[in-house]
Amino acid sequence: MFETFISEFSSDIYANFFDPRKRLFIGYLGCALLIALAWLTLLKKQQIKHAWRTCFDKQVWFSKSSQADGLIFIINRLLFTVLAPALLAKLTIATFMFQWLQSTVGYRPLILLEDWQIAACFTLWLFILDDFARFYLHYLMHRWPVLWAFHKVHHSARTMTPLTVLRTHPVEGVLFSLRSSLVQGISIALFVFLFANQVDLITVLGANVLVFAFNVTGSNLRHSHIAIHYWQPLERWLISPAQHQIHHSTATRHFDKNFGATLAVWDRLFGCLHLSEPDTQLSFGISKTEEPDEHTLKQLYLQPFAEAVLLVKNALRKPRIFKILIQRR
Amino acid sequence: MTGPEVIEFMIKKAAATNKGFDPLTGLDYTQLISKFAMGAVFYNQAVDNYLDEKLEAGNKPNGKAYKEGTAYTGKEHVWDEAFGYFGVPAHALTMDAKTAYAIAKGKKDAFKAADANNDGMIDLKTEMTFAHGYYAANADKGGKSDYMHTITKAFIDGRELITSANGEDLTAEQREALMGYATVIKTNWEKVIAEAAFKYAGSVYKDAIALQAAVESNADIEKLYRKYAKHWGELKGFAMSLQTGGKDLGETAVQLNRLIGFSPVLLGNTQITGIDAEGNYQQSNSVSLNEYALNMLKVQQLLKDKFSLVANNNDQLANLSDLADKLGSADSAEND
Repeated sequence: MFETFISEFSSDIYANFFDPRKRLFIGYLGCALLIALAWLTLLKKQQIKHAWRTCFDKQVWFSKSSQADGLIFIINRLLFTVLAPALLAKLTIATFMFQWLQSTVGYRPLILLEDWQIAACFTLWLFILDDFARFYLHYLMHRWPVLWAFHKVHHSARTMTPLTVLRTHPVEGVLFSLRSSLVQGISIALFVFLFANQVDLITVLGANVLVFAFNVTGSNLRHSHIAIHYWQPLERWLISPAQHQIHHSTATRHFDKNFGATLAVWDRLFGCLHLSEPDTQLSFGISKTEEPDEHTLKQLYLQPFAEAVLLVKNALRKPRIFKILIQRR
Repeated sequence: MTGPEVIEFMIKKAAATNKGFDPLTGLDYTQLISKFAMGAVFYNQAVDNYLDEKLEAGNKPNGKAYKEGTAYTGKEHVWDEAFGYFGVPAHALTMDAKTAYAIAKGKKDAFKAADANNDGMIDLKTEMTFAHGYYAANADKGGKSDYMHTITKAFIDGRELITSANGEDLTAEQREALMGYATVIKTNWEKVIAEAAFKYAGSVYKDAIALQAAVESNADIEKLYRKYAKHWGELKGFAMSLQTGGKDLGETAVQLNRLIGFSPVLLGNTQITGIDAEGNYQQSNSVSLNEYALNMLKVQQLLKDKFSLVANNNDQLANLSDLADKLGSADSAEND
């Protein structure tokens, strides 16, 4: 029992850095480093040595905030090794959806397309739906106070490294898992229903080709202090690392902007897109001043529950205020 | 009805049809009788008789010849009877499933493998693949399962154990070890039948969908309907066979029988729902072909879960699980 647990846990940690379907795959981290060095030397005219030191700034990598990132990563992986089997599996959703589709539609439409056309459609569909789902859940995490209580953990990072992408409260982790299962389960069911055994995913190293493209082009710099921005018209379509850093900024005018992961179109549709500000020095976190206990485990893991319980209690006491749980923050 | 009554009933009904197929009910008696008899006779005799009460201490003892003058003991006879019903060549352990399958199909390139004693002929008693042995090979040839070898190996190990007693009665330990081999044979044999039912449930699913599409587009349905009825007969025969192993499948049997029904669903959405006192079929309104196709998916799910199947040939939802695997773990805490 304990041995299985340890082996599952260690293979899970391993997968985080060696599975190209994961953000922190070492290949992607390497790409991010190369892009950052190129940016700093070619555009910011830093000496290569200086650029290297900028990337591996000790004040960033060994800050209290970064140490907490590492600890959260380990604790969450431990937790999810236990939790994972209990989470709703996408195959369950896919099977249910498939049967629901067939009994609701009443027949199996047989659409004839070439294999590559179907694979291209499936890959693109999955990428877009997943990107939208990420955007929308993220949007709700900021808008609903009860969810914000948990999402705050991510935003409490004062310095950011690629590992900050996993600075996530477990409750939020469960929601993310549910989101992925729903998106993938529904997509699989829909495509298999329409195209039977022809459905396939276009992959590079096992990862969705579009996710792969997103990751090799420096997705890991979103959580970093290297403020790479794009040409402004492009930032209206794709979120640049600098735009995501704005999302983490403590400046009031940056609050609730740029929720998107890859595509900027969702933020545009919801009126919350904010282009990068190349000349502004940003500070990250929830508030301007840093509290002494911001990165303690108690604060990170338990405080969100305390806040959420308080919100629910208040809502129950005054039923009409129930709506504050889900109204705009 | 008892098992023998079912067979008798089917044969009587078959006699009244043209070449064993009744288009008005969709019942293909050739398939129903052959697939059900394979269970009701071979499987039942082997697992519910020879590998069951005949293995008991007082029954067909190993200390005596089977009959006066026979060169084998009672227990040797019992064990060999069961092996014969399984239907694999005696040298099945020396060949892979694909070869055993090809032998049954009469493929020329399998001849050499079949002819174990190199006498230029295939001895039907010892060198041929038959019956459930054939279906074991059929399931295994995809490479995911190994029923044929598992069952054959248990038969051979058990036979060696009996022979090693040198014509003495088996000791309690020997008998217990023998029962262990018998259990391996029984469990895997049951899975072989369930795998066959699983495969045909997949065929019936595809046929029902194709049939409905043909009806809607006014296409020619005759051939499709015949194929649908044939596959249904095989499915039903195997599903009934599963219930002849002498053990109570309980709820699984009830669900299986309800999902499959007494006949395939016909084009007018009717199905046989019973027989009257004179043995005439009664047909009533049932579900649509589309809903019936969905029943087949449930049959596949039920068989897969209840019998822990691994080959799963013709799995109609295989693409769902393949894609789910390909997309990887959904539990990611990536926070953007």
